[in-house]
Amino acid sequence: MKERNLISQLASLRTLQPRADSLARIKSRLDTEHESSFYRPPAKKWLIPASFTGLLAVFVLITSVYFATYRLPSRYLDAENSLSIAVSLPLAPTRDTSIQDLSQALNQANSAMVHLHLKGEMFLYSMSQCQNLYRDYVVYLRGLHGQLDEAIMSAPPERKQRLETLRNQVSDYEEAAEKRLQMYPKHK
Amino acid sequence: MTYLETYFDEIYTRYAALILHYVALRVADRDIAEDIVATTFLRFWKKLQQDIIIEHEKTYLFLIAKGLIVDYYRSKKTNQWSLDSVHELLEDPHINIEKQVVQKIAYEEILSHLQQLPAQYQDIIVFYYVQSLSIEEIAIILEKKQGAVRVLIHRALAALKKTYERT
Repeated sequence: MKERNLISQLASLRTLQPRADSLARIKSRLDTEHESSFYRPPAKKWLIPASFTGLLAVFVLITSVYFATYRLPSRYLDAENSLSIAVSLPLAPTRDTSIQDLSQALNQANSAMVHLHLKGEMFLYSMSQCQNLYRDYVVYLRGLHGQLDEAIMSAPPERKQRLETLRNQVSDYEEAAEKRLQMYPKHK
Repeated sequence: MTYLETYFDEIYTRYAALILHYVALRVADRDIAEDIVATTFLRFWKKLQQDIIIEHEKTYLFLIAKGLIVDYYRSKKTNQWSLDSVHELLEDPHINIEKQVVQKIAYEEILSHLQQLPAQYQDIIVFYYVQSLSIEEIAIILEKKQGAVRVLIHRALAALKKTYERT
């Protein structure tokens, strides 16, 4: 076939026109898209990094507050330390200094315990930590109370008064601590 | 209707038939061809929404359609198509029914030879000899230099001629 004939045959394909129904279907599809999302304004893509940055900022803030408050003087740590000092002191009913030291340590521990917030403090200590500490405190005071009862019975009259004073102190603290412990929803 | 929508409608009215004509000659499957044309205009619209200035709308639309056709054949992994489907998409509105049969045979002959060529040759023959696009426009669509396009046109025509000689 000659090149000229070939080109004229190809040119005859120009007379072929797209069918109207095909064009109508395409138009209808575009219109459907128009109704749904076709003509929707472009998504604000900057919102994605912006929200991410916002979340990051909140995370950094929370983390920094947490670490900043972690080292702040905490009532919980004070109470825990004071209580462990008191617990570590042995009761020696024959020595006046021992009774006096124990009384002071108890006084210190009690004032630290009284200052604790029963519901805990954000970033410092939780409610359950506080409850557990109070439970330990009450158990310790009950034990000490019993020891003092025994010591008073066998103590000479000159020491009895000192020991009874200490017992009264322990008894007051015990009563107050039990009341506070009962404020928790489940006291076992 | 916004300015962008009016502009898009104008472009669609002007070029939809032209793009469908090209796609129909390359993808002889009615649903696929319509899908490709619709997707072409959807992509064009998305570009408009992104405030991208498109200088040559016609060549840009052809460029998108050509890419979609390549994707279609790549996923299909075959280059075969049926002639019957071409007639579902294209028709000659100016001839009577008697002549239609004769004309149909002529179209089928040329299209059956055309489909034996590599995809790039098919594109270039349709663009240059059927759709009468300029060398400059074809160079933009095929992303080639104008000199290379001239060479390709010559080679494609020679290849088509060879298919006739073989039969």
